[in-house]
Amino acid sequence: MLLLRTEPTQRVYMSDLDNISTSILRVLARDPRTPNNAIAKEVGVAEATVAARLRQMRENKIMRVALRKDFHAAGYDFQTTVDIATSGRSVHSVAEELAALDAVKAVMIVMRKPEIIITINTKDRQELAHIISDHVSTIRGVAEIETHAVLRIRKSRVRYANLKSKYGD
Amino acid sequence: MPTSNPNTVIDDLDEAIIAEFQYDGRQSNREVARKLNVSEGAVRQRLKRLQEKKIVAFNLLIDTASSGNHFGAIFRVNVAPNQMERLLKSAEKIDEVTYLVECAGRYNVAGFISTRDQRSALKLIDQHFLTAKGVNSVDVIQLAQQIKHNFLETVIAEERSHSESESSL
Repeated sequence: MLLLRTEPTQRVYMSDLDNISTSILRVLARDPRTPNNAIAKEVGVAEATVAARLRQMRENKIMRVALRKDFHAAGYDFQTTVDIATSGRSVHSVAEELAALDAVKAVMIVMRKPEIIITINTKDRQELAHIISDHVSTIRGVAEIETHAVLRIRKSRVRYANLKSKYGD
Repeated sequence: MPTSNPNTVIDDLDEAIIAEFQYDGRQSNREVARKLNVSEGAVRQRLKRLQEKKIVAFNLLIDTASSGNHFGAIFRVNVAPNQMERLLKSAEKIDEVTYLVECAGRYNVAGFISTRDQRSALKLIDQHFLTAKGVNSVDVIQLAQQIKHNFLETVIAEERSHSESESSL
């Protein structure tokens, strides 16, 4: 396993990429908008190689560069974590149905009961109440719901994501 | 949670530019300008303004499985109120902690940790949470499967207060 050092506190572990690809990613971790010719110069390869590697890694869903929009600028002011216990239906089917809801931003299946943890972003409490009572609780198999209000987001560094899932793009 | 940023006025062209770069953050300003039938200068200026106002930020995303980070867990901590800030400050600095929030309920600090294996995660949790002053309980919930993860909407302003290697164009 290669260990990339991008800055004292920022490490990127890559298990199945070669030196050139990991070097390209190291440059992008520092500045995701670095032009191909500048990456080529820093890594010591041809610009065409950089372009080909980036295309290949993007197509294989190993990496992508994306513009993120601020939570508040996107119209949200309220984040809630909800624990969901299921019964009478496969956990996976319930999770998939929850994931299809637009306001549900993250769905995780965990190794304990309640088996599903989701994150909901809304503009206010009222909208949250609507989503919980009219959408989440009406899904077949949802047996118990426990909500936890997030008071303040201290850190949300998105470095790793499941890019191969159907919500990865 | 902080109130909405007053500088978040975004018009239709801004939204169109954001959507283009959310889909592919490696496109050049010229390509986006051509697609939207506007000048390259317009794209550049708007992008600059949106970045300066912390409405958007470019981000390199790496697929979790390809990165070799095979272990993920949610942690929930109940800490004495007078020790909470100290705990949060120490947790913020941990690179493997990718999400950290203050919340209301049975626990007042929660987050997500992403590591190569279970051992590394438990070591960090032991060091920073279990043995920290004022901690009453720590719950570690292992992730089985991430079904959905929205990485295009995160809090940008708060995140920037940490030493980040991300774009500062």
